[in-house]
Amino acid sequence: MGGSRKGFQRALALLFALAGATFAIQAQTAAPTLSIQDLGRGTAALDGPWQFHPGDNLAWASPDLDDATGHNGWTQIAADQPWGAQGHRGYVGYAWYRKHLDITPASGIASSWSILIGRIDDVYAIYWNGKLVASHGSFPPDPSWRWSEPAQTFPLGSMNQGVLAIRVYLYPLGSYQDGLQGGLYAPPLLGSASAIAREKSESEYLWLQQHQFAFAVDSLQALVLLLSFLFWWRDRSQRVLLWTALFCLAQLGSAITFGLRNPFSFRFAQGIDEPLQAFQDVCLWFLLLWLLGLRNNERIYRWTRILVIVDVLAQCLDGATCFLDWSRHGVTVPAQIADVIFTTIYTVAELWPVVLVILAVRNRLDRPRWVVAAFAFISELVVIVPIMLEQGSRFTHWTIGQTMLRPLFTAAGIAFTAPTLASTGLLLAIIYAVFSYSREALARRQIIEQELKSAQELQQVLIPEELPSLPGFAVTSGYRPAQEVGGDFFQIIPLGEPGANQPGSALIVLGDVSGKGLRAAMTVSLIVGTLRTLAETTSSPAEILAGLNRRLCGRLHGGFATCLAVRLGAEGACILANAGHPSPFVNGEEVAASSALPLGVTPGTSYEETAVRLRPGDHFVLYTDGLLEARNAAGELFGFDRLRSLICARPDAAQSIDAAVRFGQQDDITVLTLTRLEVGEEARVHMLAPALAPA
Amino acid sequence: MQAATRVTQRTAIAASGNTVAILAFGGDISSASKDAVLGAWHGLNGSASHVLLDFTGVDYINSSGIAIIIQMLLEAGKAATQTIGIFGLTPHFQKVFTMVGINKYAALHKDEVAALAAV
Repeated sequence: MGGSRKGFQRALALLFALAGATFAIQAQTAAPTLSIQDLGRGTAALDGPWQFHPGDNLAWASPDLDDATGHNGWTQIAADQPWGAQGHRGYVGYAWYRKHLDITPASGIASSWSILIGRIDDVYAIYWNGKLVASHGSFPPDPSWRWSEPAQTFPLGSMNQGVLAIRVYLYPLGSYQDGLQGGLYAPPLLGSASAIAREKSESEYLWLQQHQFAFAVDSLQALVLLLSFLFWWRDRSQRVLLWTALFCLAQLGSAITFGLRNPFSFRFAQGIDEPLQAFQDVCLWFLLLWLLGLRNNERIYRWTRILVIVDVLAQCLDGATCFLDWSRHGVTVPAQIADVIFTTIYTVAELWPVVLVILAVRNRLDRPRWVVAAFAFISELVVIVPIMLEQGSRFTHWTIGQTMLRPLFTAAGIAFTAPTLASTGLLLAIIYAVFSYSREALARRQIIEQELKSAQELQQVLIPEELPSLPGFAVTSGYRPAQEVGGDFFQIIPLGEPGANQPGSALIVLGDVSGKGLRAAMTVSLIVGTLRTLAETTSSPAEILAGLNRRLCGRLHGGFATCLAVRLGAEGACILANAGHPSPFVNGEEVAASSALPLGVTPGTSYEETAVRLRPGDHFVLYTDGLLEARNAAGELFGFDRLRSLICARPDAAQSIDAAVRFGQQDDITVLTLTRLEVGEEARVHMLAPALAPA
Repeated sequence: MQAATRVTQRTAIAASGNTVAILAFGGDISSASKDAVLGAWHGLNGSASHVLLDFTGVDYINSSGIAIIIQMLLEAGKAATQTIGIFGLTPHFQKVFTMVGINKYAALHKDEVAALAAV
């Protein structure tokens, strides 16, 4: 009985030992070998399970290493998705992949192979049977790899049996990353050099095909940038065109940094993308202020400027953290905290366009602006909300942000996401609105130009094209408006034919309407018409001024017109009356003529007449206050003293005007000079061609 | 090139013991000054019977600016109870003001002391 009991116990112990051994064998499954038979002109995917080990040890490149699953920390992992999605979420740092291979080349094919590696996060090196055969990027310290990588091909040389090992390093994660990254995203392909080159060409073609929509949008942006800038350069008042050009420039900057294959390292690209994004935000916000009619709202404008500062500062500081080496001990956590803080700040600021749209739609918007408002609202929500939801997603495990970024549909090999469609829609809406805005501005400008042209033509009629010859006098005249249309006027009206009761006499009227531009020109037309009518019934300067005053009172809307009326006789007898106008000069001395209020101020104003006799050789100068009140860059007025000095030199009208223009013209300038001739001298007239536009 | 118009208001006691409202202008006075100048004038609300216009800080007045001042003086002239004086003009603008007849609506004084003495 006792013997049988012992025998039972031995049998039981043996059973447990066998079971334990079986468990041990099962827990340490030998690494599988991928057998590739008859590898010829095609390629073979190195798929199936790979041996995987987080951490780093260069000895793990050795073909002799025991990498059995469950032994020394080795596990198995697939190569078609990153390790973060296979139970290692949030793991960053080094890890090794190993694959045992047994390759039999097809007959007639040399066993010299190349490998095609798709995306691997982030830096990697490839070993064949313990020997380093290729690497991509640089490992810590100061790790570096390119942002936009095409698939990489590497020659492996002759190989048939052995272990392919890949050493991988994943950089610490940013605040937006969900931890599902790391390592291989697709099985490498093995094949002959030509087969691998063919696969690479196909992957490049696929990349181009997937990006052709983005390239088309980029090209459109480049075109809009160029045209907007050129049109703004032609007309600097069209600031909306400048903001459009800058907006497109910012978009293109981002597209070049992230959308094209360029030599930028990942950290550099991220570092400069943050300021670029800030630039893009600023351009969009100011563009919306213009397009949505909010730029005159001081409160909104002030808040926009405040948020611009916040956004730019936060993004630039966030960008600056990208240039730090987060892989260094003691840097990772502070850099990640700074990243979270700055990203949170600017992400909230980036919702400002949504507020602008809400504020804008309370106003009456036309169709193009409605379209902009709608797309700006949608675009900001569709672009910014996923970014907000992605923040800290490796802790929250929220997937809604990623879900919102998934393609809605695929057409012609191009995946269209909601942000892509919304951003493109916003760009097209902006183009439409800016085109509409510019067309309206152009139409308004054409109307104004036409009005100005009409006014100029009117003024050309009102300013004598030719001066009548005044017997006994040499006459010069000049007129230079300060704007396209001026408010100065002068008329010389002969009063009688030789033999009549006032042979050779003339009425000279010179004046200045307060203000400039079209309104002043219209007043001038009223004055000249009235003057011509009055001159048919009276030649008295005082009566003429009184008549003009009666007709102008109540019609000048708070303005007035200064006016000097002179009746000039052929013998030099001169009668003048003054309505608030600068007194004329005779031989450099002001005529002491009594003055009264300008025309159009109060009805019933009476004007006194002053008599002056001009002797042969006397120089008589009439002028408007534009000559007197020319002002230089230092703010000094031309003034009475300079004017007296100028006139003492007996300049003609053109010389007087040139002096004031050189000093700093502020107002319209009209000058008329009359020099009494000696008996027997022939009358002369010289008129400076009226400059109907400012110098 | 034209500077904005500045207007400040203060009061002073004249030699006669009367309270005088002083509107002090600064910068340039042009067509763009209409709201500033007339707004300040209307701000007095006709409450002051003695008003002085201080042009000490004025750099430039063009014809539109003079038109505004005339408009202000005409409004004051309608209220027969108000007396207006002007001081602080440069010799140039004293001459211009005389030329356009402003001295018929408001007495021109050299400075504030002279103006307060005349009230």
